[in-house]
This record gives sequence, structure tokens and C-alpha cells, in this order.
Amino acid sequence: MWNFKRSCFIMGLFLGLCCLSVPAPALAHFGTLIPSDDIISQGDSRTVKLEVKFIHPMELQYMEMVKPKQFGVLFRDKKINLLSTLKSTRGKAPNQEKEFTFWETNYKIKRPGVYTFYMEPTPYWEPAEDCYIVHYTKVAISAFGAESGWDKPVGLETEIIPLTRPFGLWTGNVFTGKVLVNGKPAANTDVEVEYLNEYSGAKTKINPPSDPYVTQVVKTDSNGVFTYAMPKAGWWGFAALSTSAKKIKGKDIEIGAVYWVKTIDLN
Amino acid sequence: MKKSNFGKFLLSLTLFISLLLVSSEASAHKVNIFAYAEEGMVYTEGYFPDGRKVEGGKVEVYDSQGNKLLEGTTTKEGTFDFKIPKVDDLKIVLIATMGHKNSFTIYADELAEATAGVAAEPVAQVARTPAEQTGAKVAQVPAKPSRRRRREPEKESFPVAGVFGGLGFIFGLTALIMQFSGKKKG
Repeated sequence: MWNFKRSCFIMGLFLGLCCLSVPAPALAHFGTLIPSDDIISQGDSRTVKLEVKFIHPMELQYMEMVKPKQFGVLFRDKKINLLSTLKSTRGKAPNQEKEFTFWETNYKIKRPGVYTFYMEPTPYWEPAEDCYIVHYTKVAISAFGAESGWDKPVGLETEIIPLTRPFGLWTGNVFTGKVLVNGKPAANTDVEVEYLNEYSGAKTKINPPSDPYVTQVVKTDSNGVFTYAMPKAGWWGFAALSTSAKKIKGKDIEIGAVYWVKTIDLN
Repeated sequence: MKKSNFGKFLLSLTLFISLLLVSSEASAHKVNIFAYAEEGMVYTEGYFPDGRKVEGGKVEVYDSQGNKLLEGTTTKEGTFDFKIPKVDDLKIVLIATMGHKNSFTIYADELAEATAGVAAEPVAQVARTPAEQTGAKVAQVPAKPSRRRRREPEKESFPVAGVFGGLGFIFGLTALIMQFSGKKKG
């Protein structure tokens, strides 16, 4: 009897410990780079405000973000370093207690063309996943009717090359992209897709009924190409995840190629 | 037999014409013009959305009263530059081939800023400005407060080629159907 009781106790303790050590549902981390406007026309403000964050877009949860390693814009085949223009500010989700650091800048559009903004964050240590996370993030702006150049690579360790023109998209359009790691197509790679739930133009917030709805997942084919159809107006983030060949302090680095596009309703 | 031959002829003719019209229409994209002012000059460039430059496009520059100040032609690179003729809201119109045109308004405040450093000498005395070449009257007018307004896009001309192309295509299809139905009966 005593032995049976003791076994039960040990078993209970063991099960309890197991429960404690089960990780919380994995939320997808996203580097975000959101401009105040993605199409600049005559008569629009020429100053674009860009916000650089590290968040869970659907849940709006912020994570602390130190100053990025790299931030700039690719315009007419030239990379312009804008890192020194970034200013830190703070923000949080309604259900978060404390505020977290994010970054912003104002950029003045002076010429017609496609501006591809890119950001390489400082590696983020994620204890829950026992790895560092580096999300190389991009977004494109088209100015004054010029539309060429959006398919040019920036030359990052990993990046998404859009195969769909990444601006002027309707809700329901597909977004197709090619994932490159070190310049080569990344086959059979997971691409996580999330909706930025704080889009100011959205009439209603999304309340995902269960976890799989939070982060959509598609995979790349043998050519590194993926496609996803966007069912709601707003900003959509695509994060293609790989593991870097490098390590930091012996730990793996999850590298993400992130691309953001905006859709609006067809009316 | 006669009917069938006529059908074939009609088919080839309409297909040929519609192809001709459709293909020429497809290459005619919307044109754009952009202008900016720097150090007393206005720099303009004409381009198609895919990045190709508008070569040999006609550029006309109007003041806020609608008076034509000067005109010129775009270079191989799609550019046309001219000395600031007047600190005013200037409407710069680009007229490309096939009746496509667009305009860009550069505002008085931007011109005033670009004139600030170089306004000492009267613009009209500078030799060989495009404005002089075209004989347009050039006057130095004090800067007015800018009236920012949204552009009113130029309406593109009625797409005659597109409509004929479409009609041609329909005729072509009809002819094709006629021919096949004729063959069956024959």
C-alpha cells in the first residue's frame, strides 16, 4: 500500500513537472517594417514614416528590440544606409503590462521609383526555442507611377524575392515569392504568414478561433517558391524560416526572410 | 465552298487586323512625368511604369494661370531640364505618342527654395535657356503662398485601338464559328 501511494506521488510529481515544462503555444515572431504608405502619388505627403518592430503580428505582442544591425533602402540599384536615422520609441499590446522598445524613422521620397526598405536586426535570444532569431525584413514603396525594380535582391543572408508585384494588391490576391538563402533558392522551407491585427484601416479585429488560425503556414516548392492568397485588407507578413550555417556562442540562429505587403478591398 | 473561302478570308483579315491593333495597344502604357527643382533648374523625366524612358516626348510648361511658358522635347533618357521660368505652381505636361499624356505640378514653394541660392541674377538674362529658345516670355515673379492640391489626372484619350481590337477579335471568332458550322453542314 505504502509503495503504491509513493508511486502515485512520484508519478503525480513527474506529470506536474512535465506540464510545467511544456512550452506555451509557439507564437510566430515577425520582424516588421511597416511604412505609413506603400504607394506615393502626386499630391500625397512625400514623407513616409516607417516603423521597425519585433512582434507577434496577429496577437500584437511586442518584444524588446535593440537597435538593428542594418537598416537602409535599395533604390535604383543603390543601397542607402539609413541606420543613423532610426529613433527608438516604445509601445505595447493592450494586454501587455510594460512597454517595449521599437524603432521608427521618417524618409522623404524625392524621385520616382521603387524603394525597397530592408532591415537586419541584432540577433534576438529566444530561450523558449534555445536559439537566436534574426529576421531580415523588407517592404517596398512605389513612388510617382514608377513600378520597376521590386524584384531586385538586396543581397541579404536570406530574403524573399517577390514574384507578385508587392504593391497595389487587392484583398484576395495571391502573393507569390521566392525564398533565397545565401542567394540560392530555398526548397521545402516553411513560410509563416500572419495578418497585422492593428491595421488602422481594418473595420474589425480578427479573433482567431484556435491556434492554427493565428499563423498560416505554406511551404516552398523545389524552386523555393511559395504562394498565399490574402483574405483581408491590411498588412500581411511572410516569414520564410531557415537555420543559418553560422552559430552564436554554439547556439543555432533561426534566420527569417520576411516580406510585408498591403492589400485593400476591391470597391 | 464559296462561303467557306469567304469565311477563311474574313477570319484571317480580322485576326490580322486585331492582332495588329492589340499588339500596338499593349506596348502603349500609361506615361508618367516627374519634376523636381534644384539650384535654379527644373529637372523633369518622362517614364513608363516598367521603367522605360519616354524618348522624344513633348513637354509643355504652364503657369498657374494656364499660360504656356515654354516647351521642349525629352532626351533619350526621358529628361527635359529648364531654368526656373517663374516662381509659381507650374504644370508640366508630357505628351507621348498615341495620344498618351500626363502632367505633374511642381509647387511654388519648392521652386522658391530652389531659386533662393541663385536668384541674384535675373533668370531672363541667362543665355540659351530653353524658355528663350522657344521664345516664351520669362518673368521673375515673387513667390506666392503655395496652394497644395491634389492633382487632377489627365484623362487618357478614348482607347480607339483597344475598341477596334476587341471588335476585330469578336469578328474573328464569329468567322471561325461560321467556318466550322459551315464545314459540318457541307
